[in-house]
Amino acid sequence: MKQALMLTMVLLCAWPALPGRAEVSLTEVPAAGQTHLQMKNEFFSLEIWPELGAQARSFLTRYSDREWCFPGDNAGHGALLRDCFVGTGYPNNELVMLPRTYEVAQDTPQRAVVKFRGTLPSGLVINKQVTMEADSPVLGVDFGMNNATGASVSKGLWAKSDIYVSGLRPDNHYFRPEVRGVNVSGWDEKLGQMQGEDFIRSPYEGWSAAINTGTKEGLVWLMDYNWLKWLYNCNTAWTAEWFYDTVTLPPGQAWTTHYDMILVQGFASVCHASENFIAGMSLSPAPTFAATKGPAPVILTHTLSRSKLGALQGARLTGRLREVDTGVVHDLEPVEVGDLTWEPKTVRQTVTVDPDIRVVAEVTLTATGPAGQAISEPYQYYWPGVSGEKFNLLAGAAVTTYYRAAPPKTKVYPKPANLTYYRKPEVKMLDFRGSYHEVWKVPEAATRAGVQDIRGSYFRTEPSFGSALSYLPEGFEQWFDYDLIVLNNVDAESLTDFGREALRDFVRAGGSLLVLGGFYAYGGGGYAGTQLEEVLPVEMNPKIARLQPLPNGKLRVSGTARALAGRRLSAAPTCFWWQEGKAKPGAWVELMAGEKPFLVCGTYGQGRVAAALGNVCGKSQPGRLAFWEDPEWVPTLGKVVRWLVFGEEKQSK
Amino acid sequence: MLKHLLFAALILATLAPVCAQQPVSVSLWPDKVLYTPGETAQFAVTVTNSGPGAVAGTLAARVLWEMDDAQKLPEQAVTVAPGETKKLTFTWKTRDVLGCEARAELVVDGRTVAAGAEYFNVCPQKEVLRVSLHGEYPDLFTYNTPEYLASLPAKVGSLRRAYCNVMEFFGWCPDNFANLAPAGDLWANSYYESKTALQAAVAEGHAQGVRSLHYAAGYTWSRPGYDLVREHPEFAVYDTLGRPQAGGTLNVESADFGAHPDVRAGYNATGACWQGAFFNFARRDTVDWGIQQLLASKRMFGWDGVRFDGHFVVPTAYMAGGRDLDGTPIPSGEEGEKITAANTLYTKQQVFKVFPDYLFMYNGATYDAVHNRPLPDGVSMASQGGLVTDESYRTYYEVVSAWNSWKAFAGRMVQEADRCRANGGFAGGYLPPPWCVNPAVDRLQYCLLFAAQNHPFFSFPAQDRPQDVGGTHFPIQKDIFRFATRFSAFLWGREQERVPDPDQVVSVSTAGKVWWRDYVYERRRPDGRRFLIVQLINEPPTEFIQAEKQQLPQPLADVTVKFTHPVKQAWVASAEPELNYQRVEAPGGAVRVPRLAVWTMVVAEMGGETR
Repeated sequence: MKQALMLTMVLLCAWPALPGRAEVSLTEVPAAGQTHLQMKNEFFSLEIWPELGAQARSFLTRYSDREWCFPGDNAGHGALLRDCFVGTGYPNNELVMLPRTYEVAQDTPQRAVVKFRGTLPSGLVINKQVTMEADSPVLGVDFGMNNATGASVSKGLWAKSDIYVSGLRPDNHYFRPEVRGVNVSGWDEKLGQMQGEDFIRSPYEGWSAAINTGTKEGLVWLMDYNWLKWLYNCNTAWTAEWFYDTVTLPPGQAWTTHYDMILVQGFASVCHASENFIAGMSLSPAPTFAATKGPAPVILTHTLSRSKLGALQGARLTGRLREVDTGVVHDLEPVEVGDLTWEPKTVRQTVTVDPDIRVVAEVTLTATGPAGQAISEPYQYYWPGVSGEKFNLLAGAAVTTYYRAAPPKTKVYPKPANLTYYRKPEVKMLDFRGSYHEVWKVPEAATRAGVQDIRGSYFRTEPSFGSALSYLPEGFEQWFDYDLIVLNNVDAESLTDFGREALRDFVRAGGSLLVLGGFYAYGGGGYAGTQLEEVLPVEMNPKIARLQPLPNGKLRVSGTARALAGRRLSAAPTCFWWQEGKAKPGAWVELMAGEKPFLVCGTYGQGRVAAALGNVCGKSQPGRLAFWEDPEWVPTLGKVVRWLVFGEEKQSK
Repeated sequence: MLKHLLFAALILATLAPVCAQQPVSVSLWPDKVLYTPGETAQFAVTVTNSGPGAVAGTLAARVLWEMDDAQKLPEQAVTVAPGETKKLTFTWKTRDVLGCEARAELVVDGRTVAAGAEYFNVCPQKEVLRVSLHGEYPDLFTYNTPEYLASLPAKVGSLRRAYCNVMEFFGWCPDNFANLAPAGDLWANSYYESKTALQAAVAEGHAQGVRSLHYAAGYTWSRPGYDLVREHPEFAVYDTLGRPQAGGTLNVESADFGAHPDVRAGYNATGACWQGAFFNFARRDTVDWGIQQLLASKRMFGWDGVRFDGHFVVPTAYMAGGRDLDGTPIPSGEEGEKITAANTLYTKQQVFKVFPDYLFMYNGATYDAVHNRPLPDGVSMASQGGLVTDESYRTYYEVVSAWNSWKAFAGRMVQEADRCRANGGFAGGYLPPPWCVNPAVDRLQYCLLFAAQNHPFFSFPAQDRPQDVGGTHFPIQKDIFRFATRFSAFLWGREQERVPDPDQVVSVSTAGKVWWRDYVYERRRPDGRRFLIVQLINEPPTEFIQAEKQQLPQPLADVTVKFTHPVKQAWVASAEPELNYQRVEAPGGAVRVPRLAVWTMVVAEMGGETR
């Protein structure tokens, strides 16, 4: 018995180094009145604590014999699989520590599935399912929210892991795909600390990776790009996180998402990851390279492995190297990679190019997938040049010349059936108030126009967490509860993707929208490419988003005016600053500022929209009265609001 | 018999402290902690007789400076009845000598029976920062109430008693950049302020010899900055989308509050509506706006100068990728550095035209450690008596800091001091807040700072933060600041330079490890006297700084400082355990320091050329 125990202990100690345990084991471990769940296969083991939000408080791998989760605390730090809601920090996040019950849904040598469930005080049900399979370094996680309450609920998932990759603080690096390339942050040997950008606000694909460049071990997460809002690593705290778009759930509806966590070994970097394969790439001058200017042999090194869906056969790389600044293209010799398994393969290509210029490698991997299907998947790697930043796009680098447009997202929001707009007996206005909103005097004008119920919501923006509004209607019904919505210098982000969707539906159904210019409107507000661009009666110039001075911005009523037809601004007040745009076909100009359109009106679906391209920057000068200080301004804006709310029916009053 | 002897010894031991107490005490209090030359200093001397009989004698007062220069003041006869306290006043027309000690002795029958001393500085206003001991004004909230105004002498006194001679009003202004001369009496920013109270506090500082610097920065914080960006969009810095670039939060609800703050209701933190929106100082009109604010503020409040927490810089680190309103990238790299350096000089030039004695203190970098090169703005900031502190090493005590080892920190102190002094200014050590480090770290960091010719920055008065873990700086600072006040001429003297080849002029022998090679200075006085100054630092017991568990080094006995060249006379001075100094023998040029706790200064007047 004693010998058996000793043997068990020896085996346990040696486990991380032992290959070939091609089974999954699921063990319920009693722990201080609780039960923890230990899931283990030949690649890794993790221990999940249901009572602490079903987080994994321990993570060990076959490649390193150290604990990856850093020491935890009572706020739940130091774990993987942490679920939080966007918008609330620690320790007050209502979700992160939510106790869960669990149910073992499957426990076979090939697969273990555990379902966790918790209910928030509001009644929102949280589901999480963790799946581990034999022979696979992939951990699958399904997260779900089920609105069992009687009202709409808006929540965004924030997934988080606190780990030292390989259990080591040094050499951790984070690789995040964004529109400027792969954004790398992490350990700076010289400074002895983590460096780099935390937030990736323009993700390009749905993955993120944390690699220890010393051990070449790491994790790759694959998540749904369509719902991905931002990628994030708190570099000073060694975390890997990402945020989802907020989803609004009508009563009785549910939302689910799936992500995978894949253990990799043999990668020093990652530049692309998908369900088909994982790729790392680096570019370095050939050993013969001398520190002279001009073309020289450079070596492209590819590291490739299969991914979640299965082994690939006959993988082949083709592509080109493009000089970012000149556009000159250098074709790459195709290279046969062979079959891709979990054991990464390294292949190299040599190309002659000036190694001190910025280039992007644009390659395509073709292969036959596990189901015999043909796979052809392109990806890129940006190289800043020998003298460029140490990392590819390290924080603070003002590199903007390499840019790849983010792929469009496709997602369907759960919507209530039979949603219709009707004007309320007491006209209701929701006033989204951005910088300098009060200068416009919208509430005064709206009251004058017959709006009886005004609700203000305040804009806020900051570098770390972006933009937000102090109040946003929760669900579609709440948006439709208003008659007029005012975007007074607030950006698209603050409305959220759902909010923009609801706002568009609201206007299309007959609601009214007033948009006022400023730093955070139009191009500066990121309206281009969103639902707002579709609704607006103006065409923006997304390339000229900024405010421009108007040397002669005297306001006058346009000859095409409908809302302001017959009205005059006798003081000829001045608009000093303006944002470039013009009326869309079918729209018309109500007010001109000099020769520029100041206020444009139009319709969208059943609704009416007015958009001011002018703004309230500048100040009155001798002989140039600022338009907002003109006593005629409020009555004039009031006429516009009246048209927005009542259409032509009350314009004669 | 033995029992009786032991009993007698016990009685004597118990009585000894009582017998040692003097029935008469003398204390001295200068009216200011810092004078300008030519001012008449007033020393209030208090004689208290707690003995049973009257005391009649002579009160002899004198002022000492350097190591042993002195001026006697006219003696005054005094008789103090039992239980009586008498107050006398001595005056002295101050001289430009930097650190001083005023000492009063009560002499009875040719014997000194009681003495008291205090310490102060004398320095021209233009170069007050040469002797700067910087502290924070105790309050972030000021009120125009009789109670508050009456408390000002004590508040300023809390700094003055700790020998702080420069106090900073942090975050006082309606906006860091846009409004430094508010029209109304009350306003809210992150705090709640009264113009009347601030003006009175500055005046009280002057009454006690404490100079006042006001906080300012080249970015927005509150409503006036928010409005300035609207009225002058051309002043701001923009991101690639054309939005003002900011390092902090824009909060419109707070801006609404800031437009109509109900200051009668008291403090409302929502006054800070736009934290750190940057201004474009590549434009000269933006710089001019800032200069006009400095001048207007000086006229309104009577400040002695400004402490910039980010001045008219192009661009800041936060401004990476920043653009002008028309989308043109704001100059960066070396071009930006050149503009920044020119802005700094231009600002000084414009302000000095109006206020020649104005003081400039900066939070800024003098050196690019990544590329190992001095920064041009470091030269500009230090020029003409500017004092530069670099916040980047404030967190040196954290394990991830590049300056986390004591040697690295000490080296940084030396480098900063040398760079700034070489350019006509002074260096300040931006040390961590007191709640971040334990008292041993505190003591070591201050000793290293002073030994390197550096100046302290941002000290907090004790009563302000009694809750702080590890106590406040002041219990430690007070001893060291007192020493620095008395011997400022040997820490920051005008004709003082670090000796580049210390082994040529001095050697130090000890059983332990002493840091001294970076701390050997030669000082040549205008009267021809020459001194070598050796600051001895007992090596910290750990390589790396232990923010929570740091221990002090074990005191060393018998440290010998041997000067290569003939020594006329020598002194040993220390702040530990309290200020003490004495002339010592130097046989063969060897000075013996009997005990080195953390920091001791050895001064030798040299007989011949030293190098």
